[in-house]
Amino acid sequence: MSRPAYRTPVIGDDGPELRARLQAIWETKPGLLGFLGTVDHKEIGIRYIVTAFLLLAAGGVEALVMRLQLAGPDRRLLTPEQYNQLFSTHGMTMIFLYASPVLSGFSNYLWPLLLGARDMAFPRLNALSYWVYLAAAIFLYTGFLVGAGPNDGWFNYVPYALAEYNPGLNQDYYALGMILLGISTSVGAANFIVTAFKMRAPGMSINRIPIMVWGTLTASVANLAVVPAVSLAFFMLWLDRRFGTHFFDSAGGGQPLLWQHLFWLFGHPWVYAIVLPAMGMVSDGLPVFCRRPLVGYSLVALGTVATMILGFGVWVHHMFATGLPALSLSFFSAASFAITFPSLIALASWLATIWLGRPVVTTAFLFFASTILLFVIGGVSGLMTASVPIDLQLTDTYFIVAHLHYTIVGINLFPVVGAVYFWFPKMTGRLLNERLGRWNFWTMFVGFNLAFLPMHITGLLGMPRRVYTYPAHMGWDGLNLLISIGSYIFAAGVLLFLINVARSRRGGAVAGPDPWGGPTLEWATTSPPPPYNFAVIPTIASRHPLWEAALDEEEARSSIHRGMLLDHGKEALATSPMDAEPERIVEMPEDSVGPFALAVGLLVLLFGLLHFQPWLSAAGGLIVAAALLAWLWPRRKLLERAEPAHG
Amino acid sequence: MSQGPESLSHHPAPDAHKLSSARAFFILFGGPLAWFVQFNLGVILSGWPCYPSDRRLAAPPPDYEWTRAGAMAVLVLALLVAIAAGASAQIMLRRVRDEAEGGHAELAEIGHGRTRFIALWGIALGYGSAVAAALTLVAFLLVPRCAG
Repeated sequence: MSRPAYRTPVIGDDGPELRARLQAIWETKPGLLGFLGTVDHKEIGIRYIVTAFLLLAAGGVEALVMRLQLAGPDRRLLTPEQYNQLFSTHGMTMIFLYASPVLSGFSNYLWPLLLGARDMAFPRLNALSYWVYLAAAIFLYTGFLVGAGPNDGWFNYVPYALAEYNPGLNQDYYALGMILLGISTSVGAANFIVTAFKMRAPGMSINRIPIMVWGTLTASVANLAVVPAVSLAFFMLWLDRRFGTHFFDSAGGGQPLLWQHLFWLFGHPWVYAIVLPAMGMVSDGLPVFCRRPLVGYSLVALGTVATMILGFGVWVHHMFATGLPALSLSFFSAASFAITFPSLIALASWLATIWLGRPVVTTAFLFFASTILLFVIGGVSGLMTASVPIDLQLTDTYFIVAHLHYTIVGINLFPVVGAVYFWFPKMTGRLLNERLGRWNFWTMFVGFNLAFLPMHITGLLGMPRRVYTYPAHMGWDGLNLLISIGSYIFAAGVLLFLINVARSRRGGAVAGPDPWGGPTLEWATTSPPPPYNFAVIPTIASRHPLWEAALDEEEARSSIHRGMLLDHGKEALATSPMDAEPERIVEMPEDSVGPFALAVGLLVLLFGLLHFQPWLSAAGGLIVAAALLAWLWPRRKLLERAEPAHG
Repeated sequence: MSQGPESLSHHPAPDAHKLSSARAFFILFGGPLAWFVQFNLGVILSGWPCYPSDRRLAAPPPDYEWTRAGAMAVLVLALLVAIAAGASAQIMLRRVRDEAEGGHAELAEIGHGRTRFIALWGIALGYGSAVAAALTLVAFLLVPRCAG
């Protein structure tokens, strides 16, 4: 007989017997089935991060080949078609397969630890999100490896993407792969939203949530709202290409501009979705090295949300040159200017935190602090393009390439590498090497600026983006050589980072549970954390549970080692959305290969659709149906079926 | 840090009962929703008359003139709603300012007191949305409707 749905949790103390019981309940079984079936958020998070970094490396190699081609004028290393595929695949990889998934990885790993929970709200959905992401990456890269990668840029404008101009399978791979990736993003976003509102430790009211959680929560709400737009756009593109519909074909009464609206309706909020969680990493990490709380917590959290709200009103600033009516463009221009104000809050807060704190300059600090400078450069160039007349001059030039790289590398990659230095000890129990870290930082920082700062100038000199070569004597030769040299130095920096990770994973100094003296809950558990995260559910009385004695911000004190035991099974605590008051005990699902099987089925289905193979499609569909049936079959253990009536 | 069971019950929002769910929704979402509605209707009303057919006109035809007044009316309405949300939040903040120790500076800095934290957000989101909507007014004064 299963346990009753409502019972009063037992309060008790952390201890070895309790830990042994919880270990037996929560740990993943060894072997292949355990590997494929695990729903442990930490395992899933690390898989996300590793996969995203592998894809970052692939995208980086693509960029390096392009920079060889562009190092001098009239070079013929690549054909125009090869170059098209390289820059399109590079963009697709970095924006869709690295920048967002790596943040999902960190959030998957860290959220339950930051929130004082045993797991995410929907662990199997979490596993599905990863496996589908991996399937989408495999599908998209299969296209690239067979010479059918995307070849129309990452934003894939029609009419060039239509079958008439692009008859190969390139666009079909891209369209179907992006639909698959949209499933991963959507289910992941839903999981984050429910986790943020229902799985926080008692006492962690919404004014005590770490900023990184605010960042990912905001991005997740945006993703749920806008991913359907791009999935629909890619589906309509596929229908136009393979079934003769005319959504985007002006000759058939369609609207080419509809593609741009649907894409950017998604695309611009997506840009915020790939920087706000990373800004959250800086907001949570920087204060630890400044030995003081973040300045203006309430305003930074508010700024995060406000940035995303205004982010829904800026998509047409990618379309200022399309001939839309002038006054309607002004709405988007106004919103693009307005969005700078909430964005500035975080910048001001970081500077004030450093100014008022006692900074300890570690490698993580260097990466976090450098984000401020790169953010300013990327922000100022973005502000310039918010003005319609200026944008008309700059659009489709290398200035825009410089801007987007300062934004995405500056406010995503730099904070992410900083976050690895910061949280690697928590994940592995080992510290990364600081000496190698300094080399890593300075090589990346110098290389990045050498590669991308001159692109502003080549753009202002009129060099268009997406050209596979250029003639001599345009005034671009020397700058392009400098950019190529810088990009190789930058790549060397990334290589040093990977070497540091590989060496320190086993050989780094032992970290202990809290090597930096951090204030939040993840530092209260062991490094790496046990499968159940916390032996007892902590009760929170402030925003800095581990700094309470030092800060004395409030009279109350958090309780870390005494709390609800929840050791009757694989149990977690659901709490209320605003004040995190305990509501009920939740039975968490066991490991399952269902999510993996579902992702495999979707992958087979997509290959069937790609090649118009009915049997392959049917096989994929059957695997999907079987996996869903097995997954959703109601189980008494999870209280999904009513108790039998006793007469 | 181990404490007795009595320490597990500090409520983060002693004044939560003073802020109903409906009012919390209004002060948090009233301003942003008003801005978003005026934004979308404004774009439609200012763009549609320039494209009554396939080609963009230099100026709207005479029978579309009402759309400018319509867009302005929506903008003014949105401004009023956003300001009302901000003002409502301001009144609420006054009622719950003593929910936790510390004044406004501590509220912005630390965020003590969940109810007054919400009220602070309401003020920023309400008045901020009003400012964002008002920025568009400049365009109505300076920018031609169709041809740029």
